Amino acid sequence: MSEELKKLMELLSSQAFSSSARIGILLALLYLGKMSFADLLRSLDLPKSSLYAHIQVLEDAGLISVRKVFTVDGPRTIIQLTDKGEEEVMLYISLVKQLKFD
Amino acid sequence: MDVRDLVRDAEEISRKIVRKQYRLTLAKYYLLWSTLSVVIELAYGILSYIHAPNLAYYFVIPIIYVPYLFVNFNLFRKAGQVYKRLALTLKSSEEKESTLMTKSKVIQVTVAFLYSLSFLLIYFGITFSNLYITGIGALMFSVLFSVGLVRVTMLAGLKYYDLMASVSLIALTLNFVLPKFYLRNEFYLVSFIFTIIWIFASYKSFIEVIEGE
Repeated sequence: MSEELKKLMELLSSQAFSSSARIGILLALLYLGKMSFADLLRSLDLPKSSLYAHIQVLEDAGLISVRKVFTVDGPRTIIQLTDKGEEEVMLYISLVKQLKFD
Repeated sequence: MDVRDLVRDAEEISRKIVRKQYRLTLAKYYLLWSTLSVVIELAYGILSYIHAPNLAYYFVIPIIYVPYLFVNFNLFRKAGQVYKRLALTLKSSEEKESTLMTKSKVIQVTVAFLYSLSFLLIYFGITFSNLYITGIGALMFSVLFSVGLVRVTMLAGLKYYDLMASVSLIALTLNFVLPKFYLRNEFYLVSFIFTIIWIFASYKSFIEVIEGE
């Protein structure tokens, strides 16, 4: 087993990276910058409770920050990657890239 | 689950989120631009009603375009950033984020300059009834606009109504270029068709987001 694959397996064994939905959310947050909870719910075919559970796991791992903001359309929950989250997602991407290129 | 399946699923989920987000953005964007001809006609109506001097038309009408162009530029800039981040995940690790950031900023400044230049050319071309200056400005504007729109639609997934919107936009730009389109009735007709098509594109985009087609 290559060193990269070992590192990737290690990363994927953490609770935050053990689900494709959570990794997908993290990647989307990296691409888009930030998103509201409502937008995420609309984009994914997941029940509200499941999405909430995924968000909770990512927040507990310190990968995302969740904050309430008041907009003209009413209060919104905004989700954003933290510095640690961005670092880990970039690590994930570089490992996956190497895995694909090998 | 196999690692490759997990990675593939995660990628698919992230692309799906980006697609939906950008389709929703496009829905709002099409709706916004479809109001342009109505707002301009309203402004003409008000200026005519209050017997405003001719000079007022040269100031008020271009000002109406400012918020539309601002939203436009902002949307294209954000789409560019998403592209940049997507490219970062696809390109080799030798190309660092800082290099992409610098490239992106240079492109942003250049595009903003070209937008302003095209708008000024159209404005002065129409003001001084110079077809060539108007034509060059309109051509620049439609190329910039189409490239930006194509980039955004690629993020949302290209649909036939995006193509309809782009074609109607080019037809609207022809209003400024072809002398026969200076005729008021034909100008109204093309503006009307543009508005209807962009309302349709907006409606279809909203439906796509709501129904998840």
